[in-house]
Amino acid sequence: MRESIDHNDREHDLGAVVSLLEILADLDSVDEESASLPDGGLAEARASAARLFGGSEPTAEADTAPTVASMMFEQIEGWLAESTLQVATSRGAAAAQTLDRHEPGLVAYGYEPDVEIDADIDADAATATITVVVQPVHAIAATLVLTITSAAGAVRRGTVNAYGIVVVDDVPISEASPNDLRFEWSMAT
Amino acid sequence: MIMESSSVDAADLTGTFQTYVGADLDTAVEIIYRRALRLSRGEAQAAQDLTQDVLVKIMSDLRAGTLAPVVEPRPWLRALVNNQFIERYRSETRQKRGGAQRIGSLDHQREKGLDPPSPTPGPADTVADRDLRVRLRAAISDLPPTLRAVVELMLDGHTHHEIAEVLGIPENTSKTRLRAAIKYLRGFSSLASE
Repeated sequence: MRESIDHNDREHDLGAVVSLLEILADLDSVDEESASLPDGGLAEARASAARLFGGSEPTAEADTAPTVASMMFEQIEGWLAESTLQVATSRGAAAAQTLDRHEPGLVAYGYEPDVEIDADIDADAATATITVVVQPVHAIAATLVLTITSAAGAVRRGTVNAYGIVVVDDVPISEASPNDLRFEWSMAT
Repeated sequence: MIMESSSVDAADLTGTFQTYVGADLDTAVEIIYRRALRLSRGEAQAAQDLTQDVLVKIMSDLRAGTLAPVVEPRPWLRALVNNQFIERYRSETRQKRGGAQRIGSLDHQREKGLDPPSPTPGPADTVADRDLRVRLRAAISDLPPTLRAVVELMLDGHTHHEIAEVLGIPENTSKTRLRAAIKYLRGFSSLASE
């Protein structure tokens, strides 16, 4: 059994290394240090860093960051905490019970206010994949981005696809501090 | 020298960052972001998230007092991005292969004496960093020495220009050896999955 796990681990490590090296080799001709950067990308990264480290935020460049347009999903944290505990105590089930929420603010962006939220929890990795299903009211609805931020500052994002589904992978969860996640919608830029 | 955690104050984090990392925050963010953008194949949002994850890790280590002063900031920062990329890749691969089915409770992990999850990473994360380095070295241990030397330096965040200087070889030779190493490792990878 242990040998099997070690073999899988090594296989995963090897796959990860090859994947990393392939990307680096593909771009051999690009000088990383002087390559041009997308507009506003570095400014956004610096603004996020300034927020994270509690320093002053660069005001002139902050405008380039996406505008947070809407709302917090209250109660999700409690649901996720409960689900995490369920997984921990049952030692088997990976999927949390679907949470139905009513978010009136979504109407302004062309979506029904009722949403479904699911979570697949990997207690082993202390992460969750969170899926939210929204229903567009109009043929053309605003493209929304769901941002989940932990108290430690880790950010995970997902964009609502054509079917009204947004999947946010690898969300860090902790049994010790299950209520530290912040959920926010914003308009895609 | 490892810093004392009690000496870290939130207001001083930016200054502490510069003292220990050896680069100011803006410069470091640029180095991290450039590598993250490269590994994200130019996808801006993914690069932002990767950058943020690396900064969170540095901040956690600074707060926990587990960060020793960095000697070579540029490769060190790039290596952190490499490691974060690898951890994400492993996590995604495990999920795709049904790793979530192998769930043991967090309490169970503690019962077994394994690392409990913690919102404030401590020395265990330094151990985890070392563990990752050891694991990656093991994964490439079958490479011929000349190829392995290039790959190890690449994993440590060095550019071909830097590798050429360290090993005393032309830059193009470093690139050629990297491609040969990938070909070699791909062969192992396909054998391992059979």
